[in-house]
This record gives sequence, C-alpha cells and structure tokens, in this order.
Amino acid sequence: MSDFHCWAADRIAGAVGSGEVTAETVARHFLERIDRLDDKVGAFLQVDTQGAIEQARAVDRDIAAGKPPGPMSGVPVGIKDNICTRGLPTTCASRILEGFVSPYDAEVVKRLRDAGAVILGKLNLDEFAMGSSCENSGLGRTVNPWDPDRVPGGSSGGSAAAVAAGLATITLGSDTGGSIRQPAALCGVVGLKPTYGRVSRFGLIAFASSLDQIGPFAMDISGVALTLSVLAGEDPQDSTCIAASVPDYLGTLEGSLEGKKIGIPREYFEFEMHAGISQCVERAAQVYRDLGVEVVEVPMPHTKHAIATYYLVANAEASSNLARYDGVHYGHRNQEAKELVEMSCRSRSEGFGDEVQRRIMLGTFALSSGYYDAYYLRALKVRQLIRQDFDAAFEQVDALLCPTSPIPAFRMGEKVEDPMQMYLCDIMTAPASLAGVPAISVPCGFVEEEGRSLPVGLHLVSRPFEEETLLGIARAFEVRYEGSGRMPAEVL
Amino acid sequence: MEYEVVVGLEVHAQLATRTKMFCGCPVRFGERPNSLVCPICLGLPGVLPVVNESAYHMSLRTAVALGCELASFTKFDRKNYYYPDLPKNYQISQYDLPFAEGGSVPISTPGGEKSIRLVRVHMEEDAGKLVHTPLGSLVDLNRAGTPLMEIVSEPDLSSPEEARSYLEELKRMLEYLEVCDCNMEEGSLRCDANLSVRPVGQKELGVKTEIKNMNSFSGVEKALTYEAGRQIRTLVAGGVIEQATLLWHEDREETSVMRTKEHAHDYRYFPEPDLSPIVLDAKKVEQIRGELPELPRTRWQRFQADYDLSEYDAEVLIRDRALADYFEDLAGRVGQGKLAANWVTNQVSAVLNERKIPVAECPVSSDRLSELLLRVDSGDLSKGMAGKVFDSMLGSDASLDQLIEKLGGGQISDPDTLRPLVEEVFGEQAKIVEDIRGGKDKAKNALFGKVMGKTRGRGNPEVVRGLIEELLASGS
Amino acid sequence: MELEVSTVKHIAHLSRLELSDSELERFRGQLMDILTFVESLADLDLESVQPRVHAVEVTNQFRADHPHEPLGTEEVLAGTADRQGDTFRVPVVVDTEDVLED
Repeated sequence: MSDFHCWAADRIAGAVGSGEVTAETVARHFLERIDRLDDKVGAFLQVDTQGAIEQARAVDRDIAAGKPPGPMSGVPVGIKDNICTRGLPTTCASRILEGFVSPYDAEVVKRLRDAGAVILGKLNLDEFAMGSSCENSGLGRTVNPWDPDRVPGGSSGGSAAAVAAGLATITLGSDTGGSIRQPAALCGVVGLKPTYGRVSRFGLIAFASSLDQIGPFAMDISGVALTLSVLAGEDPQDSTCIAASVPDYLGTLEGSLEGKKIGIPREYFEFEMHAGISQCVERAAQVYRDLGVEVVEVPMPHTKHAIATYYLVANAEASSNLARYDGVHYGHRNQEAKELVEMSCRSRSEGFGDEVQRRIMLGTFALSSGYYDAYYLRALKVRQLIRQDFDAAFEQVDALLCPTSPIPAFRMGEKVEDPMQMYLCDIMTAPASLAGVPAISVPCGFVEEEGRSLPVGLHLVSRPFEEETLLGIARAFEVRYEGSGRMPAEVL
Repeated sequence: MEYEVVVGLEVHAQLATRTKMFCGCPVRFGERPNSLVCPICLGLPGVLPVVNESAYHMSLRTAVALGCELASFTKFDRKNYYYPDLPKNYQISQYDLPFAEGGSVPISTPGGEKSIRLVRVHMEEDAGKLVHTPLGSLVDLNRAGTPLMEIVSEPDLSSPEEARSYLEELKRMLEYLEVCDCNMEEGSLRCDANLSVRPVGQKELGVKTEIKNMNSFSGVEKALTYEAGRQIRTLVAGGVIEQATLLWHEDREETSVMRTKEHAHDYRYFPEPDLSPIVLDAKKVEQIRGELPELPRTRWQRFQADYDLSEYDAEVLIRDRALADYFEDLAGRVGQGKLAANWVTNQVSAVLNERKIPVAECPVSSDRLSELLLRVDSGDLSKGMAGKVFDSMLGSDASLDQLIEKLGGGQISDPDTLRPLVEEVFGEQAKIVEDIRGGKDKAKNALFGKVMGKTRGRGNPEVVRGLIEELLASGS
Repeated sequence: MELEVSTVKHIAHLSRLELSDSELERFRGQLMDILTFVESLADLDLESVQPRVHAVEVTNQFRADHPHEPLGTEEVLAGTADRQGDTFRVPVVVDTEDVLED
C-alpha cells in the first residue's frame, strides 16, 4: 500500500506527469480511502467514483500520448459543494437545492480540469456557507478528524476535514468571513483566502458577493501555492476579478525574508482567547524574530467593529442573493400551495435551515426602508475604516500575524443554540475579508483539551495581490515548525 | 371652474443590442418560449452579470442627444422584489446615481414649440413574460435580461395631445439614434403615465394616478383623455381623487383600478456588488457627440427652410429617418425640393404603406426616381404619364426610355413638331375657328381638345395653347 | 434593540418566509440580540467616511455585444417542478401586495 495521501500536490503532479505513477492509481488510492474512512469523517456529500476514474484515465492517456502534462496532473481534488460542477449535484448543503445539477462548470473547476486535476467529489459545508462549524449543513454531518466529537469548523468544514483525513490532496473552499481559514485552523491544515478579485467567482454560489472568494486547502503551503497558480487570473465572466499578472507561486516560495517586517495587531489579542493558542502564536512570532524579521506592534483600531460590520454587509447581500430560491425555476417547491406567494414562502421555509432563514431576515431588515442608513449604510462606512486600518498597517509592515481562531475545535452542539457565540468565531478572520486582503491559516501547534490534541492555526495577512509575499512568509515558518504535515492518528 | 391636466411619462425603451444586458443571449421577439435563455438570465446559482458595452454606449448616445448631464460616476443597484418573471427576484437597475440626469425633448404644440424637461435616464434589465391562465401563471424568460433604458419626464405635459407629441418625438429620436426599434406592439417601447388635474392658476399639483398598460400612441392619448375626464368629473361633482394605479383596457377604452392606495413598496435597493461602477470616459462622449446623426426636429426645421416645404410635408418626411434620407437624396438629384417632396409623400409613401415595406425595400430607388422627375421637370413627361411610368417601374427594371416608349412615349413640347398638327386641326375645324374669331372664346377648348387628341395626349398643354393663340392671331 | 412582532412578520414576508408563531418569537429574540450587538457601530463618527461597497477598486468592466449559445428550452426547464409546454408554470399570481403586507 502506497502513501499518496501523504504526498504534496506537486509531487503527485510530477510523478504522474513523468509517467512514474498513473493518475488512475492515485485516484483509486484516494477513492479507496474515502470508501473506508469517510463514513467516520463525513467530508463528502457526493463521491464521483466513476467520473474520477474517467478523468484520471484521460490524464494518463494524454500523458502517454506525449502531451505536455498540466501543472496538477493527477492531483485528486475535492470541491466544496457551493461551487458548480457540470453533471454532478451542487447543493450548497441545502434541501432547497437537493438534487440540483448545474448545467455548467464553475470557472475554477474548468481551470482545475484543464490543469489535469482529478475531481473526486463534492464536500460538505454549512448551508449556503453560513456557519462556523458545518453543523448547519442540511445534508450531512462532518466531524473533526482530530476528535470526532468536535466540529471541523466552517463553513468549508468538509474541505478542511477531507485534507486533514487524507481523503484529497487539494480541496477548494470559499471564504466570506473566515470560512476557509477557520476550518483550516481547526483541522490542522493550510487554508488560503486569496485577495478578493484574484480568483473568479463565476460558478461559486453567492453568499455575500462582495466578500466571497474561492481558495485552496492543502497539507502544506506548496499545495495551496500550486493550486493558486492554476486558479488565479482574470475571468471575463466576473467583473470583479482583476486582470493582474499571476506569478508562479510555487516557484517563488523559498524567497528570503530579509528586510521583511511583520506586524502584531494588538487589538486582536484583546479578545478572549484560549491561553494555549496565544502561546502557540507567540512562539510563531519568535520563529520570525529568530529569522531576523522585525516584529512590531501595529494599531488596528476598528477591529472590534468587524463582526458587527461583517454580519450586516454579508447578510444584506445574502438576503438578495438567496431570493432566487423560490421554487419557481428550479430547486425545492412546495406542492400544496394554491397561490404563488404562499408557494414561495413555504418552499423557502421548508428548504432553508434555521441559520439561513435568520440571516436572510437580518439582511432584509438591514436593507429595509427606515433601517438602511442606520444599519447597512453605516456598516459600509465602517468597512471603509477597517480597510484603512489595513492600508495604514501595510505602510509599516509586510504581513500581519495573529491566531486564526481564538478557540480550538469545539464540541458538536456547543454553540448551535446561540448564534451570537457562533458569529464570534470570525473575529480574527472577518476584518481581512471586509478589507479584501489575502490571508492564510497555517498549522502552528496544538492545545490539549480533554485528552485530545487539537490543532492551532496561525493567521497571516498581507497586502492585496501580494499572495507571493504571504506564501513566502508562511513557508518560512512551515519549514521550521516541527508539527508540519502531522495527521490525526486515526486516519493514517 | 376650469381645470388643467398635468402629465409626466415614464418610457421604457428596449435597446437595439444583439444580446441581453448582462449575458450573451440573443435578443429576439416571437421565438419559442425559453429558447433564448442561459444560466445567467435564468438566474441559476453561481452566475454573474457582465455589462453589455453596446447597451451602455447606446444609452450614452441617447443621453447626449437628449442633452442630459452625464454622471462622471455611475453604478448599478439591485431592486429587490419577488415576481416569477424575475428569475433572481431582483432587478439590476440604477437607483441613486443614474448615468444621466436632466435633458429635454422639444415638442410642437398649437402654442408653438415647448421643451419637456427630463428627470433622468437610467439603464436596467427587463423581466420575462408572464401569462395568466386559470390553471396558473406561465413564465417565458426569453425577454428576461433584455437591456432597457428608462426615460422619466418631469410633469411638464399639459394635455393628452402633448403626451402623444412627446412620445412621437421621443420615438423618432430613438429611431434616428438607432438605439431602439420602438415597436410598441412588440413592447420594445413602453410607457406609463402619471396624471393629475388642478384648477387653472393653482400652483400645487393635484393627487395623481398612475396609468399602465397603454400599448399604442393612440392608446396613450385615449387613456389620458379618459382619465383626465374622470378626474375632472369627480372633482366637479365634489369628490376626491384617490391615489391609485390604473390599468388601461384598449378594447373597452376605459381604466380599471389595479391598486388603490399608493403601496409602499420596499424595494431594498442597494449597490450591485457583482458589477463594478462605471467612470465616464470623456473621449468616448466626444466621439459619440461627433457621430450623432442630425436629430428629427432639426431636420424638420431644415427641410422647411431648405426645400421650402410646409410644416406638414416636412413632418411627414422626417417621421422615418430612412424616408427622409430617400427624400434628401432625391431632392439633391432633381434640384427641386417641392417636386421631390410631392412624389415621396404621395406615390412613394403609398407604395410603402400598401406593401408594408421599409424604405430600404422600395422597388424604385431614389436614383431611378430622380431620372423620372427630371423628365417631369423639363416638361418632357406629363404628370399623368409620369405616374404611369412610375407604376410600371415598380414591376420592371427596364430603362426609363424603354418604359416611356412602351407606354407610348413622352410629352411633346417641341413647337415645330406640334405646329403642323395645330394647322391640321385649324384646316379641319374651320367652323370652330370662325366662331372663335367671331368672339366665342370658349370654343378654344374644343380646338385644344382636338389637337391633344391628335397627339394622343402627349402634347405639352402650354405649348399647344400657345400655338393655337399664335395661329389665331396670324389670321391664316 | 426592541423589535415588534409586527416588524418581524413584515420582515419575514419581505423575505418570503413562512414562520410559525413560535418561530417568529424565537427569531425575534435572536434578531434582537444581534441588532443589540451591532449597535456598537452607532458610537462611531462616520460623517465624513465614504461607504465602501467593493473590496477592489475596478471600474468599466464590459462585455462585447456578441451572442452566445443559449441553453436550449429543455435544459432551461429541466429543474422546474411544474411546466406547461415550453413555459414554467406557477400557482396563480394574486397581485395584492397590500393584502399580503397586512
């Protein structure tokens, strides 16, 4: 038995590209693992066994025919189920889209296919990407591979858990307020949220259009770097996706940190935080100091307003984005209603879970007549101030450093009854989302809880469209951190 | 008490683009339902809109022609409301920063020219079509996402006739600008009206009603006349006008109430996060300004001045830009504006109307018609004969000379050819000649008739009459 | 922040959600909690701050007016629960916003 699930993405692509192993062998290895382990993890909503093998064979045929191999040849990937895949169900983990099959591929899926990646299936999430624990999924239950009684984080919980459990080499997630970074931290993997506008959103089912961004998960930084090289770049189908050149993120990983400065935003450490987590992050800062990087404190005065701002902006947009699910043209329809409005109301109430309904209500309220100025417009202005905090900080430093999550993976059910507690999971990640800047979560240690080792994530943030710098800084830590690449014992 | 009418119009014009506002689906009328639909205009999960550049440029062209002030920064907004013909359940429109504000449309009124001020012009997407049946409502999304321009006037119109003139003028402008087909029956031009009445001399506006579902210019005029009458009668009878939205029924020629009180729609407008804003490109505007065609009203005035045409004739000619072009080409070739205008407004228009064809398909080109009119102008062809030649031109590509020959030739104006014939008649009709010389002036007509008979109608009447006088005087 | 039940009902209707009385009450409490939390924004002086809608400053993104191939009627209608011929069918539309708004 081989250990492809411990291989980095570029190693698989290299071996498949050179004909050393076939994509089919790799795909079968992962499909077998999914078959054996995913009952416990619950990362996948849909496994496309046949499709994956067919894709793998096509890759092998191309390589055998002498075609230049794609940069992700034979790399097994999983796709968060809010990203459209032609011919495979795309559900957003919502009953309202149960059985929906997209007639088109998301741009990122197209780019992955073109790069030779093999798509294994679709991954669980909080319904419509709304949540921080994956417990809001209407269609599946995903656990944290480090402790099956705990949540994997969210909303891209399935994407993080799949990588942590070695069920896919690369997965795609989406991040609106922390939905890639927080589950990456809780599952002990690397998760990157690119700059808003770096990766096409075409085919990503919108939660909050001005915040949503697709990004990769991997066991290590080279995996997310390789994937970003494939995903990034202008898309004429997305007016908000920027025409900026795409560097070879993998090739520039091992750069020197000479002259780089890292900022510690003190306000982030004023929130209540697990003591073990702040120690891990402090140790990470020390690693950088030891490398000769200057680490300074920087003010980010509007940080404490980020959660309020984020929930108003994101849910206002969501209330409009989710209006299309009314049972008319596709998706769940209540069949009893005799009148149109009744039909739409019932279809939506039956199809959407509690959290989604709550957020639609909040967003509708924030936009409604008489409340717009006091809530939505005010939030847009604070968003501006938060962005200005980042702009000012980045005049001084090249990256910011803080924990990804103030707490490690929490127990299933612990926060479901209290939406406000769940929302606070985003306090470290939401500011970067509002500012649109790139951010990454990298494993940086473990805390012990009830006899279990739970991973801790280091959150690094950099200037817009400077993912190269961000990845280089993250990589410098990764190579010096002894826990890199560690996987939960149960799934090895 | 005397009342005056106050009307403001909201016009929705479908832009004449090849594709929809935010996706590449073709824009066509009368196709199989739901055959011009893609994931974007179907509002499938995950899709994104991208602005059609032609739609934006056509909108700019219109705004420049209407004299609007162009916004240096404009953006799209979402207007949120649920309706099954609106797949996303929001319409992408423009709210607080439309791309154009102000501007005006000049119209003719019995009291002279009047300028109707505009509030704003903005871009948006159209909804699909909904047909109500007893078993449910049926949705066709072919029209969903078609680019629209909404042109909102100030309440500057003071009668149903003015409203109609405004619409006609606006329609002509949009046609001249080639930004809209303006086919009201197919819905490419639609109009809603706000109407109120007030005692003459009163400053404050009365309570207004909104009238929808008017599908033709005459329908607008009729609906507004009906509603103005209703409001005035209500007030005269001591009643009050209730704010309402009314539906016009063309068949019954009356309105019905669609909604009574002004419903406080809560559209929850907010900036469209999927689309980037648009910053005005001054160079583009200058280019558009430079390429603007002559507008119908300017042309109307110029036709009267340059060709000495009546207001009415000029109006008939400019109604259709292609017809006006045809006329100008013809007039230039013939050098006789009035003659050309007569022919275009009569014979040519008759053919176009009868065959229901556009000018471009007229079987007689302006070039060909000009040859004919030159013969008329020189006197080589009588009016009656010219008419016959024109008719035969419609069905034949033969040369003008061949056609004239076939029909028995052109007019004879040469006195030397005609003189022998006149002398012949003088010889044959000595009795009449004597009568005339004896003072029976009226008998000249009989003589004239005989001569014309000999020419089979081709004699130039003036020349023939001149020769008769000449011979009578010579006493031979 | 105090929310009237009628406000929550109105918001539910605007959101096209059918909520039972107990759901309404539960959402009312939770929304009040959230709105109380977000009221911290009211302390900021935002007089001179420009709202920020987009995370990136990009303008004038257009698409050429070139047609693409539509999906085809069958695929367009593939996901609907009810169709009649080539159209989507929905229960009758009763156009009475006023009534619905209470």
